[in-house]
Amino acid sequence: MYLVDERGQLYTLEGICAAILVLFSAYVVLQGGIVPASGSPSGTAEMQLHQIAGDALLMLDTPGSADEESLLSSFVCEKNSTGFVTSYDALLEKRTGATPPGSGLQFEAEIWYRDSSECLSIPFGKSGGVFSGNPAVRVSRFVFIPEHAGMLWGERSQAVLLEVLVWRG
Amino acid sequence: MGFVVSAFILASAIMVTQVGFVGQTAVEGALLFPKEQIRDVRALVGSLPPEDSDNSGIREDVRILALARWNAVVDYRADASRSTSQGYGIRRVSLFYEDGSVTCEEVLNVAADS
Amino acid sequence: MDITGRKVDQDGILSLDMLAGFSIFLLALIAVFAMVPSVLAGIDCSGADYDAVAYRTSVILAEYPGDPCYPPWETIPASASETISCLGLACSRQNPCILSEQKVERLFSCSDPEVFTSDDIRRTLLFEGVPCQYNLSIAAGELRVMKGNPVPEHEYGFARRLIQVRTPAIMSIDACSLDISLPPGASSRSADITTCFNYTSLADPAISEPYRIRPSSDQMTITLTNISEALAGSDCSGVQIQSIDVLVDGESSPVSLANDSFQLCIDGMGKDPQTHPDILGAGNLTLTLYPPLPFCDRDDVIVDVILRLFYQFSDTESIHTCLAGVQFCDYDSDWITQPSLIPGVLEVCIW
Repeated sequence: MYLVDERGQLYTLEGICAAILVLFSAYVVLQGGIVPASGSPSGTAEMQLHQIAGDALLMLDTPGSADEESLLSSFVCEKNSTGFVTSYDALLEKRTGATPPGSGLQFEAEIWYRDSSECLSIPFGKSGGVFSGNPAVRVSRFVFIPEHAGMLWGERSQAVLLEVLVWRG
Repeated sequence: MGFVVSAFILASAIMVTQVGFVGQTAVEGALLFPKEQIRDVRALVGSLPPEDSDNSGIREDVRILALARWNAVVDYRADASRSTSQGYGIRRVSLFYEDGSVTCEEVLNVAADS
Repeated sequence: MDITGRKVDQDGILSLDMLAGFSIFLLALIAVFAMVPSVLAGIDCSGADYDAVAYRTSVILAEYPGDPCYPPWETIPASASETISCLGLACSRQNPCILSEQKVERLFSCSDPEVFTSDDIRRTLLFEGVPCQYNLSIAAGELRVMKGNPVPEHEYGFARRLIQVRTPAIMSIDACSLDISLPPGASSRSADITTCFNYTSLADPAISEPYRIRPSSDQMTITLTNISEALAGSDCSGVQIQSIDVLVDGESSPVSLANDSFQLCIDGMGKDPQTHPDILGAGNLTLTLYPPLPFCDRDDVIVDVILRLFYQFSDTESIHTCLAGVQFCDYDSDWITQPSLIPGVLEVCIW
């Protein structure tokens, strides 16, 4: 009487395959579960930075009354990077006083303009801080330059793109 | 039968793993919506002086700069100016914005010479 | 057939191979179940992300005009504040980060009892189901307001927005410029001071939207100053307010302004025009028209707000003066300080 023969080998194979499949599915779940759990909170800090930097550009471009000219337009038309750096820095540091002031924000600006069919840029001031390794965000705003604006920008009326790179110093 | 059950467990595990990714990409989609860029183009087009609202040079500036810096296709078309019933000159401008994940079309009424 | 003669087949017989395969499968299943606690260990809920709540609240406050938008929620009395579903402070959706001064004053008012309790703030600005404390603050020029608890020392969710607060147009008429002479002979006389709102010229598209005077949502404050100086030599024994009416062009007779749509103040004291108060010795008179102004759903009308004064003269022989005239409200008038934007900052803290 044989105890060991060829019958029932498929049962063994089936058991081993099923075990491998179950272990593999456990591996898939473990591998996928790690990625979303760790990534979520870091996006909010950059979002806040993006929002405040964008708000500052918007506020510079909105004058206090209908008969005033926008500060941003006058800085760009006159290529006044010093004035822009001072005003933008003042806006980034504005606080209500309810919370203690945090670390300062540093920034670097440049203006992109079109020359026939390519884009060229000129630097437009920086706040003086060195890049600290914190993530930086880039905000931009189109500025309209009218015809013959002080002859610094050529003769035609055009739209240029002011870009500011902002990071926590 | 055990083989069938284990294959079913594997398929369920793969589906459950995708749930985490779906939640994250839905939130990222909302956070990465180009709200500021669309508002910026709208503000520029709305603030152009009446004589420049159909200037082809400015339109080309916006198109080339947006493509180079934002990786977005931006275009606008200004219709002929007309007078409203109150005698003001206005012009309809159609805006188009597309950056691969978001498409936005809008029609604005901007001031024009009557 | 086996030795004993019984029939032998495969039904109901457990072979050794099948036992081996089954036991390997069971071992693997037990190992997977043992891994379950470690799968869940990395995903523990640390509480709500307060930074995200603060960001959402700051977007609602700075970029959303609130709900209901028309009529504006700041005109809804405190007793009906359950009808307000969202407290946004922006003037309109098209102009984000430009806040309405009336909305800011209404939300942050320090009256007793409070207009909006913490439960109202949680329902309309924060998440009702997330228990948290808040601190909302705005600083713009002279305006410094705060609502909520003091900010703690420990970690909190924070959002900061740069905003501009829009102050509506300020209309100030010097009564000395309205003097007109009357021929002698009458012992009493009525005269009108009219403020004319041409809705067509107010809707001029050449003026950007934040700087426009909007009859549908702006509170109009008309102040008449130097009344006693203007009437000093006019020999009046009494000057009473007879009525405050509204006249639309094309209509023949004016209609009374509804009682809850305006407020009359003489030298800072609220008065009811039905009581015909006397303004002879007054310094100034303020008429505040609450939005929406009458007929503002039509943008092609001219609406006159008529303040009718009744003069009584003691001496019928001498020449008298009274105050009368028409003041036009548009963007070139020199008696109007146009709407302006004051730069400021809004901070939201959630913990």
